Amino acid sequence: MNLLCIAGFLGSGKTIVLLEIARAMVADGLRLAVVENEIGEVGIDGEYVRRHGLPVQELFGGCICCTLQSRVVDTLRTLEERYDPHWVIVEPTGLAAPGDVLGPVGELLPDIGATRVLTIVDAVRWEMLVAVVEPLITAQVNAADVVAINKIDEVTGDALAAVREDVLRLVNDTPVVAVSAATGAGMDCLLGAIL
Amino acid sequence: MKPHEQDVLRHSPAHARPAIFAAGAEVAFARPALAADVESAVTRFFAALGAGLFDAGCYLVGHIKGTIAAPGGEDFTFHSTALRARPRMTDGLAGSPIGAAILNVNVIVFGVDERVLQDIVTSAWAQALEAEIVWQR
Repeated sequence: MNLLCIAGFLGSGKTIVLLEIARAMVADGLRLAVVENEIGEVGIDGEYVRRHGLPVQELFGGCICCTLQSRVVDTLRTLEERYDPHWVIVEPTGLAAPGDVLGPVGELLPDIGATRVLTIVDAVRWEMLVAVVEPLITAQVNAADVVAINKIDEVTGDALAAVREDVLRLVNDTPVVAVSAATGAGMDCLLGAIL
Repeated sequence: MKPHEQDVLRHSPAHARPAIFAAGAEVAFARPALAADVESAVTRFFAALGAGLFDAGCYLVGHIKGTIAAPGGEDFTFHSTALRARPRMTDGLAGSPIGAAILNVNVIVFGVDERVLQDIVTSAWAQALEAEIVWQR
């Protein structure tokens, strides 16, 4: 069982990217399961993902990188027993630091296969988010194995270049891919970078 | 519904601590509602919510999202990351009018006290649906 964590700030497009990646994985014959984490007691995305035919386990009422951290491992064990998935895709809340999600997983599930962190960056709101919640945004980008700059269909070429420059300043050799999950632009390239 | 009495987020610095409101309620429309009527209600909700949050000092929207689900399970979804932009809406209703529905809403914003946020969301829905909202979870 491999693990893909799709991180990124609230509203960056994590769920739509997740569905696009899942669609491609299923088309390749892979079995998937999804963990959806919502910080409130009422989830929205879990049901939405479930309607696309994916098995979903929801974790409500906290953040899996801190207050619900201990439940992630139990959830992954349950999914492995129930579905024997090739990949589990974890979507933490947009306020999570993904490095803190995967740390205990590696320690407590030593037989886990590949672990990848994909961080979604919101091209439209990047400048504002960096101004307001810079430590969190930086932590999310720094933890990434791949960064996807999303919503490129909603920004100008100059704006996208500025975001890419900022992101590249935060990461070293991490691949940075520009995508629009809404239109599908760049998604093939993103899949290639993740898998 | 009570604001969160326990920390749901230990790693967030105090200066960037979000207010969170997530709840569900049974709602009734004054007359059987088609998708266009539901869309109008959601538009009214966002107008009232945006004005209320702006007046309360909200400086960043994490997300505002939710569903209005008909008894048959089909639903109308909405999502936004801004106070004044038109929300993204998806009509998944079956086409027949609905009289009652389950409303689920999840709002995360910055710059507003959590109790104030709850009041603003509740008031915005009450205006949009012209009915009292009683949150159930």
